[in-house]
Formats: sequence, structure tokens, C-alpha cells
Amino acid sequence: MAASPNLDVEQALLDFEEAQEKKKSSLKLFGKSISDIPCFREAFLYGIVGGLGVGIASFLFTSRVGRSLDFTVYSYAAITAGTWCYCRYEKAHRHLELLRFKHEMKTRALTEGVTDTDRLRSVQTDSTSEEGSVIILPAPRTTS
Amino acid sequence: MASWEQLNFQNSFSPLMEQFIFLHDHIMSILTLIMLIVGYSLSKLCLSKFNVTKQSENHELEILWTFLPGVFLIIIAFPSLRLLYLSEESEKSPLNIKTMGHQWYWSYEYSDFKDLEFDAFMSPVEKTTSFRLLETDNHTCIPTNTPIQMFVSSTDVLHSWTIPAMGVKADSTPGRLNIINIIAMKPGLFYGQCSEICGTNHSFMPITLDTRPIFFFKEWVKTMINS
Repeated sequence: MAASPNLDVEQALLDFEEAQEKKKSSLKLFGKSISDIPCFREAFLYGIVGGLGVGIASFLFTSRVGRSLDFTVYSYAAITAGTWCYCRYEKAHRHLELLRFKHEMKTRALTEGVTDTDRLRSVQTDSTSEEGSVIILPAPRTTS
Repeated sequence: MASWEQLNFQNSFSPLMEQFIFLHDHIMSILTLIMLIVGYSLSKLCLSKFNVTKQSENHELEILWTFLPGVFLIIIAFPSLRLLYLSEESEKSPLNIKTMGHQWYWSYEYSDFKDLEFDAFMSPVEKTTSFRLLETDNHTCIPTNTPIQMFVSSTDVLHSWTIPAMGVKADSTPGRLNIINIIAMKPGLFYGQCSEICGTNHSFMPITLDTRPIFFFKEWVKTMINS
């Protein structure tokens, strides 16, 4: 027996409410929740852990507190900056690919079954509208 | 719309504003790291007992603090320039609206439809039950998920047409047409205010943008033409 589809909707609603609750309780910087900032958590976690690791390792090897603190802070900054830039670049790349994919999917759905693709490619097509596209098509040919 | 305790941008309702917010977050995080590094170095120097001879000369350090700001600038510049050119991109849009600034109201012409033009005055404070100094008697309506091209100009003095939630702003200059491209992602009401000093009632010529799904936009067009 197939599972009731309503269960998925209820689960989705519960997940949504849980996400909203988490958002309310998350740290806010100048009025903006940090959970809304992509890559923030990942970059700063890597930075903190990496910085602490480098600092502790340098202290174990050198037994110099001041120098170890320097290593901690500068490596934290370097790891955070590097992780942040890499993560943001990957995210922007994925976002662009997703947009291209969505555009291609919509165009294919609209042009499915069309044989005169060369003529259609020369026509301006707006496939961004969700409620049926705004397609500007040439006047139909009349056969005598 | 903006609230009184708001420090950040308004929520984004267009892809362009989304990208602006991402760029702002990117630059702010780089700046925070720079402040951290500089603040830490400053505090170390202030607390130093001046018994480290290398502080008077250090070629490696000098190379580093010459090279590193350049790297940070490149990290900031690449996404910034990308977004700058992205914001100037325009595609052929199915709907064009002409916006004219007057003292002290906006007028809109939908040239793609016959006889669709109207003025938008601020609703009087005593009579409005909605947001003070933001409501207008006629709303500018556009369909969602459709590229809109807006031509902004003025009949008298400089004005500026803006919707912060869409990330658009353009000066309306007499004798010049400036172009704005808008794609509204979601339906809703968005507010803006004239952003160029234009006289006594500069603060009292707001902009109300009403974005609707295309079916309801068509109904609005029919209503406006019939009325």
C-alpha cells in the first residue's frame, strides 16, 4: 500500500517550523541572522578549529605563548578567508549552473515536439514566467 | 519595507538585490577579518616592551603587508565588478513602463497598452490607514517573474526613482531617459521614496510597486483601462 502523500506535507511543514524556530534563536549581527549568510558557519568553524590547532601545535613545539598566540590569530584569519572565498565561489558557480539548468528545462518543456528548431531559436522566448510563458511567436504561415 | 530599527538591507525580492546582499556579506566578512588582523597587531605593538630588535626592520614583513592588501582587494574586486556588469545587463522585455517625475508626484505610462497612464500622489496622512508617507493613491503594478524595463525621466527638476527591496534606483533627469531592469520574484507590495532633493515636498512623493502573478496583472490592466 502506498504511503499517504499527506504525511510528506506534514513532515515538510514540521521541518519548516523547526527551521523558523532555529532562525529565531540564531545569533544576530546588526539585525541579520547569521544562519542566513551562506558559508558563514562553515568558514568560521574551520577558521576557529584550524587556528586553535595551529596555535596549540606551535606551543607544543616552541613553548612560546606570545608566538603561539600570533600563529593562532593569523592562521585563523587565513583559514577563514580561504574557506570563505572558496565556499562562496563554489556556491556562486552552483547557483549559476542551477539557473542555466532551470532555464534549459523550461525551454525544453516549451519546445517539446517542435521540429522547426532553427526558426524557433531566432525567436525571442521568455521562459522565466511561471504561469505560462510570455512567448513572442511569428504569425502562422498560411498555406494556399 | 524598512522598519525603524533596521540596520541592514531589506529582504530581497529580485535576483539583483539577492546578489547585492551576497556581495555585501562577502565584503563585510573580508573587512571583519582585516579589522581583526589589524586590531590584534595594534594591540600587540601597544603592549610590547620594545625589546624586540626585529620590529625596527623586517623586509619579509614589509613585503607581506604590501602584498596582502593587494590580494584582499582582488578578492573584493572580482565579485564586485561581476555584479556591476550584471546589473547593467538588459534583455528584451515584454513590458515597458515610462516613469516621469514631477513636483511632487510620479506619473506612469504603460505604452504597451492603450490609454493606460496614471499619476501616483501620496495618500494624505489623515486619510491613509496603511503606512504613513509611503502609500499612494494609485499603485504601479507589474507581473512577477517577467523582465520589466522602466524608462525614468522628469518633467521639471531632478528626482530619483527607487525600490530598495528590488535593488533598483535611477535618477530621473529632465531631458534624459534612464533605464531600469526589474524582475520581481514574488508577489507583494514594495515601497520606495524619491531619492533626489527636488523641493519642498521631496519627502512626500513615494513610490508603491504592486507585483502580481500575470493573471492578476492582466485583470488590473483591464480594470485600469476601463476606469
